[in-house]
Amino acid sequence: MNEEKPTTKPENTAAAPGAIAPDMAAASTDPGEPVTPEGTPLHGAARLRALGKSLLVAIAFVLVGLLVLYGASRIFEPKSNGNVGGVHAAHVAANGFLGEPKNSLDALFIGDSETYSAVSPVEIWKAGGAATYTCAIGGQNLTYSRTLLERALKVQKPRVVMIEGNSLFKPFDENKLLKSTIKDMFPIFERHDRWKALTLRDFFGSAENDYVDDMKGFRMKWGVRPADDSAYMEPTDNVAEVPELTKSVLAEMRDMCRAAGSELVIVSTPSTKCWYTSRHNGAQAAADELGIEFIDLNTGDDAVAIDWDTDTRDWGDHLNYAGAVKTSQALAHILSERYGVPDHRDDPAYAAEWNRAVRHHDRLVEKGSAMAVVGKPGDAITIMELPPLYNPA
Amino acid sequence: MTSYFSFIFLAAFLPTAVAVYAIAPRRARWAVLLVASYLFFFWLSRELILALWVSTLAIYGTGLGLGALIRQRDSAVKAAKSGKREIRARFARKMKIVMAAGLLVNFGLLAAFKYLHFFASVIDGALGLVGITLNTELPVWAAPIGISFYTLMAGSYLIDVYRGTVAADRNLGRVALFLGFFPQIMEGPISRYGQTADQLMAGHPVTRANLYAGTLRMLWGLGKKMIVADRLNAFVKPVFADYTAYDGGIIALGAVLYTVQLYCDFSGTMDVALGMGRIFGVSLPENFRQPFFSRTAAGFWQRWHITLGTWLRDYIYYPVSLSKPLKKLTSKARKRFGNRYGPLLASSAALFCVWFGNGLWHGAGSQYIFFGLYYFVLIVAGSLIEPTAVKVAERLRISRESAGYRAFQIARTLVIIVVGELFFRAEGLDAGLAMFGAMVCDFNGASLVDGSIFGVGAAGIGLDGHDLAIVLAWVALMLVVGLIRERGVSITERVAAWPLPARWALWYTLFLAVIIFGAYGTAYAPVDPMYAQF
Amino acid sequence: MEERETILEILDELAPGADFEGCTTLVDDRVLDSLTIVALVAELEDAFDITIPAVEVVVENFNSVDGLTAMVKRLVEDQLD
Repeated sequence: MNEEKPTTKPENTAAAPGAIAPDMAAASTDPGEPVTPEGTPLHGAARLRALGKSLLVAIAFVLVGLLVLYGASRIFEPKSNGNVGGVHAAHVAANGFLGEPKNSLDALFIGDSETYSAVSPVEIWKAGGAATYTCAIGGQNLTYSRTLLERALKVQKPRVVMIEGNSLFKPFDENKLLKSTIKDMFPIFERHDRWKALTLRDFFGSAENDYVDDMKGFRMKWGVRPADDSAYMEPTDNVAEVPELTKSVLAEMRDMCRAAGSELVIVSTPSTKCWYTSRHNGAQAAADELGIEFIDLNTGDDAVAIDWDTDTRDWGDHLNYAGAVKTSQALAHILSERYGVPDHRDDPAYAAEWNRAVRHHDRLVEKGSAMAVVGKPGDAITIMELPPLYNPA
Repeated sequence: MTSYFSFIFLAAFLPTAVAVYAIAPRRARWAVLLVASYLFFFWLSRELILALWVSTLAIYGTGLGLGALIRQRDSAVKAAKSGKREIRARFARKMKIVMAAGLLVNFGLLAAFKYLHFFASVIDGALGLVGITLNTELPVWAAPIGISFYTLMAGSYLIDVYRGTVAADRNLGRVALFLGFFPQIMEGPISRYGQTADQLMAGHPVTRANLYAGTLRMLWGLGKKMIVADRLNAFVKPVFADYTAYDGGIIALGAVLYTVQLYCDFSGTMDVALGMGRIFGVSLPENFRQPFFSRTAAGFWQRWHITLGTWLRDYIYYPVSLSKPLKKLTSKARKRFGNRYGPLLASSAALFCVWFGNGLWHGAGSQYIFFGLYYFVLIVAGSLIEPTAVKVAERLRISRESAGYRAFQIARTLVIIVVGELFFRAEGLDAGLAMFGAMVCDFNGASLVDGSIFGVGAAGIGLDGHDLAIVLAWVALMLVVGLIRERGVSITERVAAWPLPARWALWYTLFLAVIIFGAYGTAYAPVDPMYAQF
Repeated sequence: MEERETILEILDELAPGADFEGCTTLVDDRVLDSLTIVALVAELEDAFDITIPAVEVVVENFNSVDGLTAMVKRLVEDQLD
């Protein structure tokens, strides 16, 4: 207690310590009010001019700031859609459509892990010749789905955009929406972590989307853990709420699609854990309200014939490869029958790209089938997963 | 929004509040601040805003009651020809009761929200010793934001009115704003009524200078918290949660990095708070003054969480040590033990109350009380040893003002601080003791240089070489800034004199630094401001 | 001036050797630290039969002998029976 000089004194004064030193003020004016260099307050036109000057300075400051953000965003943006430093692997797969030829895709599937487990564009190609892509990351929020959609519509003109029904029931707040909007405007917020991996190309190179995902965003997963489907899609009159914020973002996405000549459709891929009748009812109600189509692959006319003893890898939450084949074939059928998506299998523009993808895909299926072990319902089995990222051979 | 560091607060709430405040007529500006403060409080704590309102009304009413009694007393004393002392004593008794009632409401709420379970477990433990077991079910309530802070401010207002330091306020709006001002509500600083009440009502306009200085300060604080504190969390959290998996070297590093994290988090939040205050033309008291330059433990607490220290000094230390029984003790002790050690007895008694209070205020747990008493012992020991140390230094011809000696003192104090923080952060007193034991007995310097620090924490979450580099760089920057401020130079004033392009460049640089190097986004787990839990 | 003499005596007893007469920064320069202040208050109260309330324990009053003298004189007058 016997030490340096204290600069804090015992407090006792009732008078305010006088706050901030005023800019330049005479005794009779507000600190900060415009004054002449001598200190007398300005009036009338002079005052307005001084205030106007302050306003201009403020606007200039903000504008320069935005420019700085823009410049930083340009530097930090990955110059390739492939595996560059500082970009998470999952995002590379989801954004792989940037490497596809422009305006070549007929349909896009946007969603979360349900989607990338269940929808295989290569299977769809094999079944009906449609060129599609799956844009999905685990736990994807609708806000990121919107970001992906915006990105995709700049370079693609799909006929149909199918959004995962599960996305309707993952709530988010205004904070997340605001952040997502700002991140879209200034990618620096998304990509700032790349400071650890910046290269000269980032500063002086330009973007070249040279990476192509042969699986087209699908994640091939093997292994069987059977689901208990006794209560699956049990009828009920309950309607699960779709939050207002979700609906408004969906409306935005619908309008984006329409402006690009696409149709937004809600599609629910099969799952015993994530989908039930009340959600079906809720999704139907939301779809009706928004004036868009809703296709439920879990029930009704469009139900896919999933065998819950063999087609799921984690007790009904996600499908495995076998389930994905069935779902993809059903979707191929829907795309051609209902949305008039053409068959490109004889089209030379598509042949090279997609045939190679099919070959690669089939090689992996061979590998996977050899590795996976199918057990009886109730067995605990290891899930084998083939790495989703690889460069075309 | 969960804190000052949430995006929606910084990008939407604050700019809107500032804009509305700037446009509003001067006489209405205090109301803008009050509405904004209550909106903020409600957003974070919902219906618990009732607790804040109850506290506000309680001190308002009690203050007015005390004011009335003071007026009556003064006129009675004036009119009386004799017996003034009795009159004063009579009124003092009445006033003490009124003040006690007000304090009871406020501190009672604090106890109910924060300490119910702790007190119950202590009572249970004590009763258990005599063989009684109670099986009471106590409800668990989330605490309103900032209750530990605004309760102290409420108490200081009441005691100041009682003492006559400030006049009882008839203006409910001013009392409400004093207590609820949103830049202070989360983590302080704990200001006095005399310091801020008038400033808050003055409605100072938003000036370019204040806007620049305020936002610059906020950016500095954001940098400290988001670049350093949030980043270090990836290392600190697993070490403290899972300490048995790490050797003494890693644990020691964990304690050091936690101290850095805590300083950056808390002082960074203070920079944001004071910066916001400045934008509104309100000068809030400083809470930190280069604490790691302290030469003694006592000196540390004059530089760390300064407003808490002065609150404890003015409302616990002096009242206790100057109370009648202790004054008698002091006189007797001085006659027995001389001028040096005599007052020490009473002073130590008062210090014990202060440090027990400090520990208890920080949390309802035995490790916090241990933390407080740890410093109590060190500070009293320091006082006792001081005269001996002076003599020894004279004998050995060591100058206690030399750079070498000062460096020794600073290093010694740093060790004391880090050990204290180890106990503070540990998940319980036994964990703290175990970790301390490991640090001392199981210290292995090898683990600090062989790369195992990068293995701490879940894969993909821990620190890598880049992270460490940026932390070191920012800490070096803080050191430089600290040295400049230690010389008494006001950086804000100096920068304000720079030409416009330089000022703007500095601002944009800090802004970009926070955005680029901040530990936010998918690769990092979110970290709430640390002192907000108190 | 009686009060002043007494105060100087007390100060000399509590912190022998320090120069009190010329100094106006007794608290700021830590000539009087919190320990000494506590003892000083006790002595002053005894010597002058006054009560020094906490509100008086402030820098302005304790920074110089003159400040102390003024405070003591005021309290003596106020508290005269």
